[in-house]
Amino acid sequence: MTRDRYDIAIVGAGPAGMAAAVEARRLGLSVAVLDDQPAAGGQILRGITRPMTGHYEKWGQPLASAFQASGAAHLPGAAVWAREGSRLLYSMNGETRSLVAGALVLATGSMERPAVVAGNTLPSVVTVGALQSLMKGSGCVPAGRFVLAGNGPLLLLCAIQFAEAGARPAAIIQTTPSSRLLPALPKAAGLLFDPALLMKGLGLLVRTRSLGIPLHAGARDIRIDGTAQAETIRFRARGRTMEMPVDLVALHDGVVPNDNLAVSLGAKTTWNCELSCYELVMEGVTKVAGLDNVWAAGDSVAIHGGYQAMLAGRLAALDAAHTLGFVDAQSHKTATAPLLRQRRRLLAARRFLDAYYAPTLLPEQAPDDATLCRCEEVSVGTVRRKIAEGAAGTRALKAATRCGMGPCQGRQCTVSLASLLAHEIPHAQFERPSLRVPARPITVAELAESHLGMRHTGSDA
Amino acid sequence: MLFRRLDEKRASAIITFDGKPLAAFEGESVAACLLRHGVGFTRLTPSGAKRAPYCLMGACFECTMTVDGHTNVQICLTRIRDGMVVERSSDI
Repeated sequence: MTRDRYDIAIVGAGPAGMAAAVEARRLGLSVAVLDDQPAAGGQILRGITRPMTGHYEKWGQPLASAFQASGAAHLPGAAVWAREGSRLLYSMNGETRSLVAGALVLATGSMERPAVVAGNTLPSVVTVGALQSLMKGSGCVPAGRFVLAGNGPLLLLCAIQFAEAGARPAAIIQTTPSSRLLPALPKAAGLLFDPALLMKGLGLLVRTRSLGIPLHAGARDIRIDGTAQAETIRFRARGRTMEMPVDLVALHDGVVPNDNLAVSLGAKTTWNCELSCYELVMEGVTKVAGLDNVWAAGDSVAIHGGYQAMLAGRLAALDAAHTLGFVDAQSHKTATAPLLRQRRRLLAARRFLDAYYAPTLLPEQAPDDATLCRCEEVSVGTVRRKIAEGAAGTRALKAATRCGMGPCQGRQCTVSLASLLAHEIPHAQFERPSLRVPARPITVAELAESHLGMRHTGSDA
Repeated sequence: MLFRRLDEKRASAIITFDGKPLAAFEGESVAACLLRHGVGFTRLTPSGAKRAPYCLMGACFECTMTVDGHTNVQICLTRIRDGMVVERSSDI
């Protein structure tokens, strides 16, 4: 039986959300975890409570078990769309419900960076994460001739996982430029602080070779063609143009914070030019700047990976519990100090990954006919033209092109828009276009039935 | 077909897509079920282009369909229920 009043509400049931819930329960708080996914685990641990494959990080199972035993109320399929005071409104099975919580922890994780290449909107073009989600969440793998294309550690990891499940990719088309290795090497010293990560990376390369998956390194100018779906993929590698027939293409170019909910609640973001993504403005490690009693943890703040998200989730719960008076200052300090130390050590290892796997499928490298905004069907060329005509900021561009005004509410194009703008006008205005309530699209009928939107109480609605 | 099940279990549910029955499995997402059955697209854009599930994690909204009368449901976030009725949006 779920109640409607909790000490703390956590949005997201991935590593950060589950760890925050376990820690908060340990400290004696009542906890609700709202998650838009149908089961706990987030993306990296998707399906862990009912595993269909064995591919999980070794810290995943203990975390998921602790979460299930924690006594936190878990609300799967709950999409939070507004916060009014301490009341959270969420949509579940087409119906809006609400709960009250003194503290809010946002653990909304990451999403794949939109891959802007020609042909990216054709049916049977998906993301690599999408294939992983189908395998881990639905026990379903590609059956036709498929390739993985793009950049980032997930590419090799997933190729291996699919091959081991009996679905071997026809090729990996890797767009990481080989020229990046040398400049990134000075940052590789940090990897020594995370030997597990280093060994994992080397292991992936060796395993890809032994599985015999063809790897095309240093690829660029990817183009996907087809009529009803993807039929061919073309790219340049080692000075020549390659063309391969395909049934399915999975693209990947790293991940970016999935922070739409935070921004719609009023959180501020800054544009990180080096990483080409927005980042939440924080006070300290876990407190969201400018929002009362709202904390955030994990990849929704900055991309540090699943293990780090687990540490950050615990920190957020400790910080929230301290503010709410469940933990005194001394116990708070004793508990957070080792977590903060481990976090600093592991962050050093990220610097190499950030530099080596910097994005490669950005709109600035794409031809004019690639789609930048999927919902409103705005091409890279149109955005370039509007910038040339004087739209010198993200908001002006949004108004001039309708980028970000479709059903995905800018989830798929805002980062691309800012990234193209940064390339064309380095000192442009990058302020994040506003996201308004509802943070998730809901029907007017649902809003009317809820009697909660716009502070209506029902009597006059 | 572009996708197949990892296991060889028998289907445990039936859903209806555009009036036709599709074999489905409890626990899988509606998106996974339609992809396995080779449903080529889930929605049309305002200009008439066909779109299919892309991110499978709730971020792209390409897989929105009408499920049991509810419009604009993200089918990648929706699990199969026996007897479910799935349609493309009525405005196409």
